[in-house]
Amino acid sequence: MTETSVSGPAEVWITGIGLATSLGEGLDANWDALDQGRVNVDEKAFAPYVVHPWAPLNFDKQIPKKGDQRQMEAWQRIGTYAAGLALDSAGVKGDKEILGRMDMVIAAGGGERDLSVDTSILNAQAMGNSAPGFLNERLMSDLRPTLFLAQLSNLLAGNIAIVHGVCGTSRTFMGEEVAGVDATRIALARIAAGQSDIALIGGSHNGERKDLLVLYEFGDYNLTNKYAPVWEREGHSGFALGSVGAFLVIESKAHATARGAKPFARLTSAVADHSQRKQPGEVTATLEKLWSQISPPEGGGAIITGATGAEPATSEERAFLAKHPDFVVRATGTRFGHTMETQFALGLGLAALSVSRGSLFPPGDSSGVEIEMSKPPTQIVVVGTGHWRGEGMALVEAIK
Amino acid sequence: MTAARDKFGRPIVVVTGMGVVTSLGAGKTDNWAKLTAGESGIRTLTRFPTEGLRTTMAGTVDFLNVDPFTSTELSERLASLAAEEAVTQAGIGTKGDFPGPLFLAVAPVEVEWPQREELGRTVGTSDMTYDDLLRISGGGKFTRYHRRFQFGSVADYLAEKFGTKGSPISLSTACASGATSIQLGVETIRRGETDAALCVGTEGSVNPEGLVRFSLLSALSTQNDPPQGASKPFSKNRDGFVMAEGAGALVLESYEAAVARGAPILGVLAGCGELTDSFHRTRSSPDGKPIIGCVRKALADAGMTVEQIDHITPTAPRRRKTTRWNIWRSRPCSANAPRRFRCRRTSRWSATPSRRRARSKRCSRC
Repeated sequence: MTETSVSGPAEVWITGIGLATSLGEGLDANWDALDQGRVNVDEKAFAPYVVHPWAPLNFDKQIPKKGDQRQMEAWQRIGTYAAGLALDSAGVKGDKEILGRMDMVIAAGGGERDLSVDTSILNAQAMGNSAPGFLNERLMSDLRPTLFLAQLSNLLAGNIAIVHGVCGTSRTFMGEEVAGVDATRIALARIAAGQSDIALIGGSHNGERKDLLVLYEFGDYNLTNKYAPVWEREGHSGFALGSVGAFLVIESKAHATARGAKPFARLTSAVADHSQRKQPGEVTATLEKLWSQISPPEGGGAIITGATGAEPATSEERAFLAKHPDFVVRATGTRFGHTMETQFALGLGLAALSVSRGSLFPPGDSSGVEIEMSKPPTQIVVVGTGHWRGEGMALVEAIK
Repeated sequence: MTAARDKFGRPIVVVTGMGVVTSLGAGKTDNWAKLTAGESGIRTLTRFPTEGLRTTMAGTVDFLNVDPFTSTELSERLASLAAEEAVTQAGIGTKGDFPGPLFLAVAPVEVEWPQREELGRTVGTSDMTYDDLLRISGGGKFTRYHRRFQFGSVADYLAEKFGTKGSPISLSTACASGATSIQLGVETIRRGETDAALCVGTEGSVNPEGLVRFSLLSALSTQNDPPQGASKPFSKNRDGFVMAEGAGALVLESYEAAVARGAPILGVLAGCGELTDSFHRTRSSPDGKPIIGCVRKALADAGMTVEQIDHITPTAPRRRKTTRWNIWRSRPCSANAPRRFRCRRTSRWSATPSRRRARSKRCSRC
């Protein structure tokens, strides 16, 4: 499908959602946990750092071959699992004809070091092993050959292609939070323009990783000692890494209706920008600009934000939110922690779910930023503000 | 339908600027001169000790002084040089104000060994764990490494330097990444979202662990001597690929915008295609269907048939198994085109009655 539509943009529907998170597996488990105000957080295992651990599940259900599971590290297993759930949800699992032409745009990080190899080498060096070639020899003998495949960003997409047979096209976007927005934006633009019919978008993140904690500790971004909701971290800023796989199937209305698929919601627009953040207020101004680009209709609604809790980005976003008091706010970071590239897809999934179930999940704290929403949400703006760079937004609407 | 649109009614996409940096040198002129003189950029590694490695050569870019070395820093420098050349040739926008988005093919980013070793020295004990590394990582001493090792950091730098518009995209589709960056540019121009796009691919990952990882997958050539002879993707005695560094950049524009500003048109980008090969994590499908389908999609996208193609520039990863099929696949793109192979002994081109015969590369007269 490469012809650009000349008859105006196609309407795009969200027809599948897959969530496997720290709160559980599947839409009902996550919905119930949100409804009950449950948060799965661990302050001890990585102390003083706070993380949201993955909720264990039986991988065999979505990744039947043990051999496939062995070829992946946790972040890829989480993602491959959640992608399978999304395909199930859309009713396309195993449909070779559709999967064979399904486009995939994934937002991914990577890494997942072998911690014991790293530290044993550093310790040996500290004991005076500094001969030329020492590092080479240790890496040659200690690294597992398949670890590389678990470290590569694009191998999440690779595994989804191999395990689930999604093999139209495959693109992996990197670049922290906004990669998730860009994946959505590009997939949506392609379908709207007739360059694609159906796409799988999303990502996955494993928060139980010390190598990631090191990276964010360089910038003092980790939440330490005690969990607190995103909006209650004054003087105690930062994010708690989260563990989430979140995927969506999006497709043109024409494609969905032709195969009799039932939509959760409409994905109306997705936009992103990149302010240089050199002056205070740039993030607020950029979010305001994006808001005007998606132009949410009058009458209010809800905002589901991936606000990280890191400063100054979160305070700047809060200033933006304050300008739109007719939109009720929910921060996914409070419930799931921060899942970097995956946070935006998580927000989209929860937005589509809320719209389809006719209610927004309850507030996550008593800060006053999040208040009850009595009427069913018909339009939800999903916001993603990177902890360091990148701003994005999408509009999810009810299909009447 | 105007002349500025293709037969599908889409804006025609043209190339108005090109930039290249390789192990041979920086810029098109230098590279072309050395390439046509038969020079090879593959050389014995001097960047780091090679004791204990099976492969000791690569196509490194050694004329940029990146110190302390990180692959991400080198990738950034390479991309910047290539983009500079492309933007200058296109004469587009003003300095630091490129009128379109950036699509960057870049390797995944992670903390590298020189920096990890610096952390280790800071801890200073010989029984350290990751908790000890964590304990000394904060407090502002290593803030620069957070900035450096963000996946988006290279794109962030380029977006600021060249003043590209909107959210820059860093992408990886493995060896197809460069093609994907171009495809993203083509698509956005065809959608009418922009008149221009800066598409860049960069690679600077020859470091000890990078080399070891590919080595452990048995993917690299070990024919170290002479290094210039190691890279031979279409030879019978190929034994793997040779890692190399470099960057390439294209300025893409709509034909209409390029003509309006009197820009040099270097070529038309008529069509592109992509397709996933889900056969295996490191091997391509033996039936060649994915790559054949991909070429077909590119031709269909251009509204062309295989008979109209005069020349194919194949890129092969030079892996033993892969390459054979790349050669094989370059034949049956059209259902009507005869499958042919060249006999190893007689050099005759023959139709292939069986795959077995093609594999043995012997014609029926042998």
